[in-house]
Amino acid sequence: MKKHKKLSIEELKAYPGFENFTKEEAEEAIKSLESLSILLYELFMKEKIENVKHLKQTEKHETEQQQQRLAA
Amino acid sequence: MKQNNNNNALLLNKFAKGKQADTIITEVLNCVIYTRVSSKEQMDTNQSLEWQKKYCEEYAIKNKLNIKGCFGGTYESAKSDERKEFNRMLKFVKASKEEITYILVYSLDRFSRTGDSAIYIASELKKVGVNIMAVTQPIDTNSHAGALQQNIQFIFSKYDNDLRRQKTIDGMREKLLRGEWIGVAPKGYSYVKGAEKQTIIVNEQGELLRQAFEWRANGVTYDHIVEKLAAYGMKLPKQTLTDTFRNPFYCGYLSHNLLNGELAKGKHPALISEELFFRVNELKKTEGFKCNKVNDNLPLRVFVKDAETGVPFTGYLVRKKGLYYYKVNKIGIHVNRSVKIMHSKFQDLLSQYEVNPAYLEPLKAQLGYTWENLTESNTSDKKGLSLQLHSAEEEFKILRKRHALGQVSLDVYTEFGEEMEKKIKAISEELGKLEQNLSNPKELINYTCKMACNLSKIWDCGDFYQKQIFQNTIFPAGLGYDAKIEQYRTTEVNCVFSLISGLSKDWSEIKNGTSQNFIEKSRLVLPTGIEPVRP
Repeated sequence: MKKHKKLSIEELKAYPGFENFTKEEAEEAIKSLESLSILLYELFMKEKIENVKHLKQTEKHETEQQQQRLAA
Repeated sequence: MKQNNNNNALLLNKFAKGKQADTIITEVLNCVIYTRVSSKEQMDTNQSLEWQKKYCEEYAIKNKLNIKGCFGGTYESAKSDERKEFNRMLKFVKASKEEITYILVYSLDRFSRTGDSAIYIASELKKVGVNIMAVTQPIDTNSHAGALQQNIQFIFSKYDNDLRRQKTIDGMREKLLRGEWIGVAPKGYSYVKGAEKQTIIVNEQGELLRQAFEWRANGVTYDHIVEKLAAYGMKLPKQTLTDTFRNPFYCGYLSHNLLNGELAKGKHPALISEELFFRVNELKKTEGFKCNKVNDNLPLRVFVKDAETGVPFTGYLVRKKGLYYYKVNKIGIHVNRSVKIMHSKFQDLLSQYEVNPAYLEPLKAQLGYTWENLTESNTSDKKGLSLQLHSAEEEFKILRKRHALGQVSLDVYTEFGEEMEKKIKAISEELGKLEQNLSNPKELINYTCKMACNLSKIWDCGDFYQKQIFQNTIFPAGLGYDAKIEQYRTTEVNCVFSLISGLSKDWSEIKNGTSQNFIEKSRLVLPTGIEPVRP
């Protein structure tokens, strides 16, 4: 079964500012970081898809223009 | 003289009291026949119904009874008297113009197994002159002893039923305790037909449900999951999805009313790990939020409440202006604010929690893990979607061909063609998203560094679902809006954002030489209370 990967409490506490977190606080913080990271991932993918779409449209438009010019 | 005495005796008899003893019946009496079995299986597999009818008919012939109708002939459980054929018979007997004297049944338990209720029905029938006659247990119910005997038999039928019921329940409970499921296999599982022992396997839908658990654990909303599953061709109502996520069957345990509040370890294969099951349900408990109808223009609806009364804001569109407004929908409260104002104030509030790049490190590390989690699941997603797309395109091709050959009318072609095109488009879009795979998470991390320093932009860029997740992550208890001072009030801020915001401020103070101990300060930031957040 695939294991879900996420920050461990020890890893989090190794970062400056998080050293004194209790176990519960660290668990909460990891959940929030996970949630935020998923959101950022989805937004990033969305933007990437939009960029690819835009690029394809521009390419298509340019090709059409070129064909029109050649035909003329 | 003798003649006179006889006449007088006959005349005097008219003044006698009490019911005359039954005289010998010479007229032909009417009857109806009622037969039944308990289950469909019994009806399909054995000949019991025919036997019952045959015995009743033979009895009627033998006793010169005129059969006026046959009822039942189907499966009806006698543990209740709310039976279709049974009630039809009672109605017929009571309403029949030709007086019915007997209801013939094979045995009394065929008539009813309800005990006291059966006794009541029998006595009511008796009042209108109808007797119940069990042809294999003939009793003269006109005598007190006969009536008592019949009542005892009704009670015994119920007792017998109760005993059998208890035996069945015990058997079912035993089966559950052994780890075997009873009844229909839960969604995503199928029984292996013909197997010696009960064998349950994960089917195609199970694989999709496994994905659904993963999505939910990663914070994807119920509505979004329903949409995603629909794109894969699995239609699942939201309520069923909720029940599915709460069913421990999927992590290998059996939960059933017969287990009296206990769980039993199942013999079936677990679809997900216990850890994932807990994460999904923990998320539901702690991070669940009300998500109303999707309206991209009103992401703060319900999430924001009037600070004074606690009544949630709702939203509406002024069609003439084409503008959306938020309002508190309660008599006596007149708070209306344009979406523009509310959103701009919300973005101002978010800017107070922006991340200092120096504190992005734990987020970057988590992004690495998330990237691994989601790209791994993308691979299996892609396979499934490609298959779906292929089969949908094939179906559409066949439809077009049949239309071209004149086998399918234009109406049908238009109706189903549109539906298929929509389906193909939805799958293609979903597949398009997945095809944008990353070679490594660096690009994503760079993007995050830019975005996390601009939270209001993240919120603004998201769609309805993403906005919901985002705002509920930062402000888990929602927000209050104080219409008097036109400010948001925070009741609870996510500890990470509080800390990061506190650290960021501290960072700038270190630079300016005005720093205090930032850990102490960051602790103070956590509970903001019902006061406006001060930047």
